Amino acid sequence: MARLILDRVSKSFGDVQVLQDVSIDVRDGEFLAILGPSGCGKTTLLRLIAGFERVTSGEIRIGEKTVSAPNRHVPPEDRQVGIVFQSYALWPHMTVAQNVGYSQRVLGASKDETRKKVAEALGVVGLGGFEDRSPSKLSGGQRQRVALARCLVQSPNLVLLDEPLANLDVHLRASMEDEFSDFHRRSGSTMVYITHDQAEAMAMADRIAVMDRGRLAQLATPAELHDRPATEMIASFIGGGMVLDAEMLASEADGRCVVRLYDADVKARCARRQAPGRLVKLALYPNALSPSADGRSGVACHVTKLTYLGGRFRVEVAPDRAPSTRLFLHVDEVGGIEQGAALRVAVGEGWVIPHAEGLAA
Amino acid sequence: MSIAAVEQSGRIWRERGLIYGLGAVVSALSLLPLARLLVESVMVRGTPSLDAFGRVLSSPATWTAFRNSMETALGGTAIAFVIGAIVAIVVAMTDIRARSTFVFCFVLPLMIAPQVTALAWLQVTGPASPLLKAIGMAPPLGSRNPLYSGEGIILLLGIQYAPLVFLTLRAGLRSLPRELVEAGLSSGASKWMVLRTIIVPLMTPPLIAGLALSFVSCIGNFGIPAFLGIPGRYTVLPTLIYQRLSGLGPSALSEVAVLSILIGVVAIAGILLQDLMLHRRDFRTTTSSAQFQPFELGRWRLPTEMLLWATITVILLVPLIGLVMTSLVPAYGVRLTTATATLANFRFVLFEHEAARRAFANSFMLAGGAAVLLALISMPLAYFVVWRRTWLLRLLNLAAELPYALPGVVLSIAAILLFLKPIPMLGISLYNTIWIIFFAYLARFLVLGLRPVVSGYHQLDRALEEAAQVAGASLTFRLRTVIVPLVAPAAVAGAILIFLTAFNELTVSALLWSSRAETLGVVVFSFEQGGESNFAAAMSVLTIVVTLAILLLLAALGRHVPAGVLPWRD
Repeated sequence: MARLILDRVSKSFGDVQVLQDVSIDVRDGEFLAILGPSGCGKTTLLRLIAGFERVTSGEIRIGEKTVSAPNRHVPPEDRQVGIVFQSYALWPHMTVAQNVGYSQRVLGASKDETRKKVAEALGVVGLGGFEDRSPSKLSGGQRQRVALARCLVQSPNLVLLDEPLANLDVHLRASMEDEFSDFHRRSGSTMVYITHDQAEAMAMADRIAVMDRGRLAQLATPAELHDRPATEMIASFIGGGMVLDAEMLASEADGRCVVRLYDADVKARCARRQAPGRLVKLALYPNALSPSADGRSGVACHVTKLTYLGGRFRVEVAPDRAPSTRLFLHVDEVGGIEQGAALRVAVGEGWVIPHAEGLAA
Repeated sequence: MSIAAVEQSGRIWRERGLIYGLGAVVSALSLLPLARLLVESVMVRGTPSLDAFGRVLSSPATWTAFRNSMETALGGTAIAFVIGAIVAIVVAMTDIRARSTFVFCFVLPLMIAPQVTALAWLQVTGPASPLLKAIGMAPPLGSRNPLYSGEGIILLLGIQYAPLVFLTLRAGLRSLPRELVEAGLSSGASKWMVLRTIIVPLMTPPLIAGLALSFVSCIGNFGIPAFLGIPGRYTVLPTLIYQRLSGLGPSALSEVAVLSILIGVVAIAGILLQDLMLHRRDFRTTTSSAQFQPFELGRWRLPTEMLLWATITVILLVPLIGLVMTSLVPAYGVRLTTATATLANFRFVLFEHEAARRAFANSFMLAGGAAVLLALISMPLAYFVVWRRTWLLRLLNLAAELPYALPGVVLSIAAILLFLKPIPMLGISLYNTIWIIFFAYLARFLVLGLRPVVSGYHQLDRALEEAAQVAGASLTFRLRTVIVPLVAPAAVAGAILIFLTAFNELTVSALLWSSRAETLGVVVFSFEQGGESNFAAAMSVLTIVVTLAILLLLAALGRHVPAGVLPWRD
């Protein structure tokens, strides 16, 4: 168990800069998810932490020890980092027990001690009695558990998980998510979990580091990430949020503000005071929108599409002031809503994105 | 320094030691001999001179042999192309039955030594042919065997290397995405039209690559022109080198060095062409998902199958039967009947003839030793080449191709030059010992062992190694417990290919053998030159039996071998 610190880590392959100035401080015993679309550099980050790649600049510290720096590189075999690989990487020529007990074999531990530790670890992941099986005879979920047990025996400083659920079917994923959370609670290890699936990250992680094109876009708790996304990319990547053009009307020191959205004035939250008249980006989730109760206030729109989602409807509308933009909301009853009809949409509390791109400062 | 740091730096040095050690071994095997050969051609007694070049290039004998070499290589390639391409298209694209058995039989001539092929055919066509005698069609004794000619050499080279064209083209056809063919058919094109307008144009690169490969093999072939051309006074470059060297001894070395460079240059042109063509594969055809549905031949299926098996009968079965019959005949020219058939020839070569007995032992040990040693070198070498991408060893991996791609006589001459004098500092002399042959085998067949292991690594998930690494295992520990067990099947397959090739080999040992260091190929060759075809046939039959036994073993091992290592596997 140890703290993991990434201090302004950059990595280039030739001319291609894959990571730029990434700084993350993972607390001892924390479950951190690194989230991002494919190509954002999250796998490179994992390989840097594990020691398979060297940093171009910056530093990585595990516990008190600097393991990566431009002039210093502790090889993976000396880092005491456990990894659960996406492909599980179970050795096909060894039994389950031999796989799980490998790190003991490296240390030259006695047979009895190895056997005890292996049995313990397999017990923790619920695979007691599977010692003599061959990995090829196991199901996907069982392989995953063997890989976890292998990690456990090593009693690593840090456990890295590289999209461990990517190869499992949907039903298995939910139960494995619980499994990882349990594993984390019981072992108390510091865990870094790489994924491109925001639901996975939200469900398990203490904090989430969102990566975007090689940079750290935001490092926050799941709730904060949802309520106060730092960039447009995060707002649309998390929970299907909409990002809309708006104009700042007035803002208070406590973070409350009023913005003009098309033809309506709506309340919102913002990170800091901003000058009135400034163009901003407003992040909204579908559940903040609803048909206006009085039919007069709210944004004037026309319904462009109605989709039945089972138990409720998804309504797609175009604001009259911006006909090419689409807003989404959910309703339980259709009432008078039909395609082509006019609809006023009431807007609940939104969030003004602090680092909006593409706007004049 | 802390204990951990000391341990870590020790490990780094062990790793570097392994890399440099492997680098030294591969350089000594592949670069050193060829460098020595190049030096010899421009040095006369230690001073730079182009005398040898001038002398060789102004000799009419050189150009006769050169012309003959080109003639037989081009002719042989043409025949190999016609047979190989037609058979590949039929086998890969139609619904013939017993496909894998057919492919195994068709590729078999590649696994049989060229000198054995030559010997077998000579037994079929000559005046003493037991086969012709049995049907009463043998020409009168004393008449000349029609195969003792340029045409004979061309025919046999064509048969020997048709499988090469077949294999390259078939590999290309198998990677052709079925959508391309299906799109053609669904736009209304007939099968012929699809073949003509889609398949053949897309297959041009592999076709040319196969042609070039076959040309390079023909140009370097020694066994066939040695058995057919020397008696027929039809000299090609490899046999010219052999005759000069065995006639004049080491004094002819500068001259044969130039000759072997000449043949090397021709071969390299072919190799470059092949390389260029294989890399020009259209990127759009690499998105393949599944292989296309074979075309149904309908009522043409049976006639097609009969034609294919008739081909096997002519190019494989008939010569083998001829060879076996000759090995059973008591003496040259005697008619084979149940009364005259005898195993005396086998008894003679196995138990009575000193050199023949020794040759079995020598060839087994040379081929076995080379196979085991090269497999052991290949596993760590390919590890650095494929997974670690160590630049030094990646370059040497390319260099390792040279001794195998170049004609065998080139390597033999290079080895003689390298070891004629005792090795400096050590004072050990390898010349005129069995060890010079062993060295040449290691150099020539390294790439045969390396290729399957390289493709083995490509097919393995590197996370398997990384998982061991994060568990704290050092490189040597990982190699021992994880990496070697995983690539061992590929290494074994490579070792078996090396054994088969080395066991049947003549080209290298014909120039390097010495008394008490004979190989099977050499003894068969000298029996045949001395007119003792019966003994030569008996020995050849025995080598074919060993070859077949090993091939069947390999087929049984098949499941554990990575895809693409065994050429005849589907």
